[in-house]
This record gives sequence, structure tokens and C-alpha cells, in this order.
Amino acid sequence: MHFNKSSNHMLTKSFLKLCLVSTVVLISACNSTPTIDEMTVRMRNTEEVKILDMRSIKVNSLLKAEATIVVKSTKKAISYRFMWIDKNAFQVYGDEAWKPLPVGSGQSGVLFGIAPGPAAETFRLELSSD
Amino acid sequence: MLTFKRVCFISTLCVLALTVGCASPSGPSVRYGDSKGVETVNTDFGSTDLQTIAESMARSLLDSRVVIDSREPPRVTVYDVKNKTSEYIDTSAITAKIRSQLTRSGRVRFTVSTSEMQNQVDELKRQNQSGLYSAQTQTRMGNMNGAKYRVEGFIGSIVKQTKDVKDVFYNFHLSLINNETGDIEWEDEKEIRKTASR
Repeated sequence: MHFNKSSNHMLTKSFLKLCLVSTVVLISACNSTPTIDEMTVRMRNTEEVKILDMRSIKVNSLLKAEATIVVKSTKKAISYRFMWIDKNAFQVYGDEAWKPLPVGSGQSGVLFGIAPGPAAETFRLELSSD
Repeated sequence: MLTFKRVCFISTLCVLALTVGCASPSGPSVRYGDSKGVETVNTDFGSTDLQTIAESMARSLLDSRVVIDSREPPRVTVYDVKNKTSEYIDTSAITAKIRSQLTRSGRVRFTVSTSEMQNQVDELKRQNQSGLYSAQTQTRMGNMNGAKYRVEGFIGSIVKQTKDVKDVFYNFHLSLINNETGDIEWEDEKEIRKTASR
């Protein structure tokens, strides 16, 4: 089987295109981890709270979640709670109570939560101010 | 004649005004609020303190070695939490909330507490001694499960007050004790500070 120069060039081009598309698909598939902003639900104005990082792990089939935060100087009463979500993206175990932020104004600290049961697969951190 | 008409008109107006005045709502306005919201009416023990303590203790116990290392959910009974504060606090509401959260997790089983024991005994007696129940369906005596652990604790407070500032520090302490050995298997505490200023 013989190919002339132009058809060979076309084949190479198509192959490169295919590679490029596959790479883009792979990258977008791997990049499905939600961002901190996507994991945070802000109600009212809570911009004084900056979330530095979030992590979660399943221990004994219970999801543990942590968020490191920094609170800028503010006189606002800010509260938080964790929302637990199952594998089908439904909220489970109802609403937690809103808790006053344990981190003082101008300080940093860690918000800690454990899912009430084994159905929780992921979480959202909810922040609210008065 | 004209004066009589005028008097009648004014009287009608007065009656109408009185009727409308009396019919207008004068009672307090009522609305539903968020039962999970942060409550800061005063420094007394409130719903946010109750919910925060219960959540914190339940999650801490779920994260303890006793629960994590048990193949079967450990059986626990609840003792009353002692109120060492100067104010009235229904501590059974705290333990009930902790128990419901732990039961919902499926990681801990609870047996009837000391305060619920009388009802349990009464029911067993009713089924076994009244002669009203069939032998196939009646629950039998002597099959109650004993709890391996018991939960007990206390809540204390430190109150400091000046003319303009009131500071209340609550300390809730809970322990899980092995009924057989007497070992304290788990302990945790939750501290809450509330300050009110004019």
C-alpha cells in the first residue's frame, strides 16, 4: 500500500487532532474535584471568612471533614455548619444546627465535622452572618 | 332638621371609627424562625448551646476507639447529666439529643436508661403477669440486654458580671465508663463562652 505525500500529511494531521481531543477529554475528566468555592455555600455577606483549604476522609465509614479558615477583623456574628451529601447528591441527615464560628476576629483556625452516619459521601460548608 | 341630620352623620362616623379601631390587630406578631439558627437573646443556656454540645459530643464519641474498634455497635446506657450551674437546665434534653444522634449513626446501641426503667418493668409485668397476652406473642422476662458502657457527665458554669458586661463560661463534660471494669474509656468536654454587654 502506497500513500502519496499529501495523504500522509493528512493522516498525521488527523492523528494529531485525535491525540489533542483525547488529551483534553482526559484532563477534563481528571479535573472533576470540586474547588473550595464549589464546596462552600455562603449565605448573606461572609467575605470576611477566607477558606484556605478543605479535606475529608472516611474513617470507619464515617466522613470526617475539615476546613482551615482565616477570619478578617469583623464585628459580624458569623456562623457555620456542614451539609452532608450522599452518593446520589442528595442531602442526608437533615440540617445541622448553625454554630458560632469558633475562630475569633483576625485569627485562623480549623472547622471540624463528622457525618452523623455512613451515607454521607461528600459535604458542603455553609457560612452565614447575622 | 339639618342639625339633627348632622348629628346622626357624626354619630355614625364615630361608631364606624370605633368598630374599625377595635377590629384592628393589637396582639403580638407571631412568626416561625429557623430552629437551627444561632440564638443570642441573652447569656442563659439556650437552644444553640444545647445543639452545639449534643453535636460535638456525639461526633466525638463516634470518633472514639471504643466505637471505631467495636465489631458490633457497643451497648450503652445513659445516666443523667448533673447540672452544676446556678441556672435551671433540663439536662435530659442534652442527653436525649446526644442519644438520638448516636442512634441515628447506627454505630451505638442504647438500652433503657435508669429513668426509663420503670416503664420497661411495668410493660414486662403487664405482658407476663396480667394473663391477657398469648404465650406466642408475649415478651419474656429475663431477656433484657445489659449495657457494657454507661455515659455520664456534668455541666458547670462560671459567671462574671459587672454593671455593663456579663460573661458566662459553660463547661460540659461527658464520660463513657466500662460497667464491668470501671475504666473510663472515653471522655470529652465542650466549652462555650457567652458575653453580653450594654
